[in-house]
Amino acid sequence: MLEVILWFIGIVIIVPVIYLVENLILSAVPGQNRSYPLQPIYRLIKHFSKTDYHNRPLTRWFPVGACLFALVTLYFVSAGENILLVLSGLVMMELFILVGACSTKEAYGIMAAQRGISRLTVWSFALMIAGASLYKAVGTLKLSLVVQYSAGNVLLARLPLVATGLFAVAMIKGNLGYFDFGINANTMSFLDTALYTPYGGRSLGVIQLTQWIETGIWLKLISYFLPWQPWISFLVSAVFYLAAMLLNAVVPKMPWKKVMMNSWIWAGGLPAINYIWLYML
Amino acid sequence: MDFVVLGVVFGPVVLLFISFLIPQGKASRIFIEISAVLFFLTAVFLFVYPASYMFNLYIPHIVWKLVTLLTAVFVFIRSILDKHYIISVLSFTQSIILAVFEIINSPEEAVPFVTFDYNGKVLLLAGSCIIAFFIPITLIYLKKYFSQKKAAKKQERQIEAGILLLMAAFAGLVAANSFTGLFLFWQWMYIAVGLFLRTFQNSERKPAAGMHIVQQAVLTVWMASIPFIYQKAGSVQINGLDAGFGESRVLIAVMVFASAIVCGCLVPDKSIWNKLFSMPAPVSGITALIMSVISPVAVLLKFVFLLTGVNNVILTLVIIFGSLVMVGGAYYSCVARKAAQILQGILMSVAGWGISTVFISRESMFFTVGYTAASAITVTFLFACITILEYIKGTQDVEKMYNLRREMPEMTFFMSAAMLLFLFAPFYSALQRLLFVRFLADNPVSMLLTVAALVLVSAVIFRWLSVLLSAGDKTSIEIDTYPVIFRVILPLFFVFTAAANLSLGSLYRYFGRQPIPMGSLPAENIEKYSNLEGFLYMLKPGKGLIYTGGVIVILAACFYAIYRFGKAEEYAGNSDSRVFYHYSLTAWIPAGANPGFIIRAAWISLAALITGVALSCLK
Repeated sequence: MLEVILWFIGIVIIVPVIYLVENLILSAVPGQNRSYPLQPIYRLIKHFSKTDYHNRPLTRWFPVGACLFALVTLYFVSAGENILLVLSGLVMMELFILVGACSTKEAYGIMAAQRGISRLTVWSFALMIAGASLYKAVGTLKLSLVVQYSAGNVLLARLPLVATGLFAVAMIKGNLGYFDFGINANTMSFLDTALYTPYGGRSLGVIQLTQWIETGIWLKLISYFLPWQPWISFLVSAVFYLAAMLLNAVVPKMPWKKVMMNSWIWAGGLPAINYIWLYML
Repeated sequence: MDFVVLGVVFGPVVLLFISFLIPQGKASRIFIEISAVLFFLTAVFLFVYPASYMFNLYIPHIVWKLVTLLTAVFVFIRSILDKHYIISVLSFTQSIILAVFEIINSPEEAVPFVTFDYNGKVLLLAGSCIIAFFIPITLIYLKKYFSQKKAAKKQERQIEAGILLLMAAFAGLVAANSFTGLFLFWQWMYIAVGLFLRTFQNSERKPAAGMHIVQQAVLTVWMASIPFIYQKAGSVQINGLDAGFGESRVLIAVMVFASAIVCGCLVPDKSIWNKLFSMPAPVSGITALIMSVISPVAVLLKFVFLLTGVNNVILTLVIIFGSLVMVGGAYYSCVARKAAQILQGILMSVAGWGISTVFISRESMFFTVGYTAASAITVTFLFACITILEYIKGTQDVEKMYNLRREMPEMTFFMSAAMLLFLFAPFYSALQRLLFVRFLADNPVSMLLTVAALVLVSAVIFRWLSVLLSAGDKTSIEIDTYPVIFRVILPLFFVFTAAANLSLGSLYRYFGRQPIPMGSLPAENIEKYSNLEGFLYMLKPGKGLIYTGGVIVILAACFYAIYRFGKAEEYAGNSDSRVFYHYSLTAWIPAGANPGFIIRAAWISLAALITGVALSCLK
């Protein structure tokens, strides 16, 4: 149980740390915006210091529901539960965010929700196929048993495209690079999510926290495929994610339809190819 | 023969003849509604009292033979009157084959001619529930629809006759115990759908004529194969076919599959569905549900013993075909603009799931029955909702539903809850387990297609839900445009829908406890998979129900709270929010690619492959 708690806390902490490091590095790079070293944390605190929109008394509860499901899913990942439970938790989390966006009167909110649903199709497909591939390769859907298998076998050698696909999913969820679903194609405009801003104040802060937890969940999922000790694998996946975030600063933005196609090819196509490949080899 | 079984199959036909004596109008509508309720009550009785041999009735074989022959002759005469000469030739051939076969061989008919097994009873219950609740809504809708048309009485008569015949054909297909019985009830189904199409045809050329020719051609092949089967098996009973039928078994299995697919019009082709179901939403809904979802699955379930263990290539191809139907339906629901078309696509997807899973294992067979029954009821409920919406608002465009939660809060609540039920009850149940455990083992291509279809259907539902949950203009619906009967039926139907979905696990356990006649299937231990780690909530008492119920209650409560306490002001810029179609799920597909064409090419190739492999067994 102690190990589960440590993983839980570790995953919660690592993502803000990644954001802080990214902020530090980008501040030092010529041509990038300079900001305070603790800008991401400061921004979060600032959100919590503001009140929500007065005309949307209930919208604030949807981020709370989403955050709750994110925490539950984080527990599933930390405890090495069944990957289908993780999928279900993530879907529920996403739905709470989307329903909250739909419940507002914001045209942007509805638009963002429709985009979010399109994005949901891609990553849920990728995760389901990843689950199927895991089952085919390891013979179980339980992540704690996958770790045991990975300790004795190089899982990455059997599921390289699945791991890549899941990394693409992490980029989709983080609106990074060629996978940016953001409405104005500027990742930092709304806390790195596809939702524009039907939320405000504290609820926006809760959304930010949820997104950080979710990123941690994806990084942990990717780390299951890496061949080292779990904590080393997790750190490696975090470093890769940091690299993607840094690259994001120099990658041009793309139209929404193009982003959607990229997502299907990389996040949907790669795991599918790997899945078929498992049967052919 | 059990009198109740006989009543549920042939009762509607008797009622059909009685209905001709009743004057057209309100009286005939009430008569049809009472018939539908009686049909449902009889199905409930059959389900609750499995062994109801209180009244037995001996029906001589000659009666069945005469009824079958008369039906074929009726189709022949009708097609001549309609100047459909190809169908005339085919139905004439059927009549001749039937007559000659009876004269030369005079086979004993199956005893009993109609009977229900466990699967059949569940499907009958689902179908009759659909009919009982949906028919009143359909008839009220059609009353308004026909009020603007000429020759309304004749059209209403045709619709009512079609509904009664559809009931009889459906019950017959589920209960038929012989090859000739299946032929008879497929012909009834053909006549019933023909009556619907005749009512709503609006051009000189019947759009569905091509499909009807194919259906009759398949039925002719079916009829022609009966003497062959009789020669080999010594009986026309379905259960008379045993495992030692030789290589011809593959051919018969494929013929059964093809007949079920063609007669159910279960090909993943949008143009064919559009032509066949180019009718008002409720009529196309009920036809698709009965003809294309429940009946084909019921027929295939009868022949599972024939298809399990046949040529592995055939089985794989059949499963891929089912998955293709599933993904085809999901894709068509993504690109549809009208709510009825979206639901038709979802129905096609449900039927595809039934086809692809029914042959995998005994466990999947049980679950397929439960899933088909529950999802058919749920989709019917949604059909009922959009029928009422069209009745009141005159449109079923999803874009026009942005302000529905203010106009009709209870309707929005019911629709949202039904959508959540449709998604979550099966999704968090044995479906997942079956998908990842059984499908995974041998069917990678089907697995990919099935996952894609599930994801797409879920996304379509989420998108629709997002529209329902979005704020819109505050307008009101006039009370007098919302008939009281709709207000009564809708909550009642919703309770049945919720019960059907949440009792999937119980249904499974019910089957698990039954002394199932194993036939030629290996007696698999169906509890084996219950011990697998993972996601089996619906199958374990309490846990799954609590989880699913909890999710639904939380989301429903959120929605209700928003509606009840939300202080939304006047909505501004409503035209900006019409983003449903701008951000479609298929927007990413390049303009040059046509998934519909790819799906069509795939199903035609698969059909050709299946035929080729089956014929190669004759060598």
